[in-house]
Amino acid sequence: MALSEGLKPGGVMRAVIGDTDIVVWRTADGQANAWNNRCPHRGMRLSFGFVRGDRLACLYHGWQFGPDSVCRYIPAHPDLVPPDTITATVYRVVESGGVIWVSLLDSGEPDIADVTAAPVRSIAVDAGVDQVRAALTGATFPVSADWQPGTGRFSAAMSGDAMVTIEGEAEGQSRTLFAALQPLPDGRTTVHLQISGDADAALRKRLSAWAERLRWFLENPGEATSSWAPATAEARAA
Amino acid sequence: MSETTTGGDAARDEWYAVAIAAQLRPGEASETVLLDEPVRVARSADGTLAVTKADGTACPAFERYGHVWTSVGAPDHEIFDIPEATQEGRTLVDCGAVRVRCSPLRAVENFLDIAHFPYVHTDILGAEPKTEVEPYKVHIEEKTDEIWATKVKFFQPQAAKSAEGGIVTDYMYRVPAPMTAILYKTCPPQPGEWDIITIFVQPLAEDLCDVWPWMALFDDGNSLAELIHFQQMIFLQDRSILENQMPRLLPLDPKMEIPTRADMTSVAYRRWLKKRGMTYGALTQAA
Repeated sequence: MALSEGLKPGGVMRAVIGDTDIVVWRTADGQANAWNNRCPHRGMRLSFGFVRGDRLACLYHGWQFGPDSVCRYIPAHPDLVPPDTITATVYRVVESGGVIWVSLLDSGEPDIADVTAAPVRSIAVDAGVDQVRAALTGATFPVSADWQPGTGRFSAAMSGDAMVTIEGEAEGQSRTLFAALQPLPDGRTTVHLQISGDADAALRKRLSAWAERLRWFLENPGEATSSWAPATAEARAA
Repeated sequence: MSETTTGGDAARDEWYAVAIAAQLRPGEASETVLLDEPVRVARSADGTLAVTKADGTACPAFERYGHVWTSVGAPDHEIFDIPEATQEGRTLVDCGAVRVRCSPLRAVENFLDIAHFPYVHTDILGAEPKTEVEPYKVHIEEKTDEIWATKVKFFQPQAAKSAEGGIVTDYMYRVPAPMTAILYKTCPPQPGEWDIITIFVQPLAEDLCDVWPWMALFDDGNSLAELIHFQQMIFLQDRSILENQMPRLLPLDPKMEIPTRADMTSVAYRRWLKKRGMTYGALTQAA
């Protein structure tokens, strides 16, 4: 859904899973929430709204909803206590390893890796989630070439449907790269990348460049070969 | 969610503005769309108006309230009267069209709403913390089958350029046709009179419309350009809302969206549309 650091306290963002439009927001004291992106009053997208304390307010008429999604305040009638039947539709949220995970299902254990990792980057790719997963698990995309730790061995594995973990070595240390996959409605995919341990600016930059090459590879299947994808600068030019 | 409609026959038998009359000079024509049908609006060299469908069928055409009006159906009634249009001392202002990716009915409903002023037109038409909507009256005028909302009051932080600080402004709303709404508003330079601001909504498709604002105002010292600029700013702020309401069509099933007391006009409007069989641009049943 998103990298945790991309959603600051008081922040609001829109996200999409398949055909489902979602608002993700964080209370002032840090709790992440994910709801259907629709105000029950007049259908306005709540992702245009704003956070006040522990409530999300709709931009259209300022209706405020608590973290339990119940409407707590209607500005047109300041003295009215809104009935607790006025609610937004809530989705389950788990924040783990620097990623905000949302499930549209009511039950089931989250099948996600619980790791301590540093955020790298979220990147949208014009390729389906299956294609991205296949590339990342090493079938088609040469992970090791651009992850570029110098020397090391690399292997990729799945952790649930939505996460690919890539084991490797950077600057002499064993590291794990986590790629959380979010399907978008138009057949595209967002890849949320993190790496285990700390990541300084230089490492983030290298991994970010690697992500751009991944994108180039996926978006140019005819030109890319099973050997190396072109350098980042060329990818940008293309 | 099924976006069901049933043909929109009631919508066909209404009058719609499709061009600004003064901007269509002799010998000129414009192409537009009305209720999914392409139409051509033309003025001949001798000034006669003609509106024709793609297959050459002639539609009625006439000028009123600064615009060219037509219908792709067969209205059994004349166009509604706006008596203020001929009242002495008023400046009549065409504003041009604002195209909005939403149901024409959502555009009208938003125009009838005051509770959004502090949030969408912040510090212009409303401001926190003065967000309360006092009780007002809504009735259907039996003779004409029009919706009227009266005794509407709202705090306005900057009522006019001359007004220092905010004042409570009085409003009335009139819905003379499903895709037309008229706003009556306190007129600072002419106490006892009302400025009127209308929207004529041209339905291009069920989820796409051109909104033609038109005003009949008493002079408050603003230039025409300033007045038009002000209205355009207000409508662009509204557009950012209208294009983000889901579903795009206006739900007529009361279960789909929850109103509060401030929404009395909107509730009356939705019921009135349902009773008239105005299903074009509406969602008639929940999924």
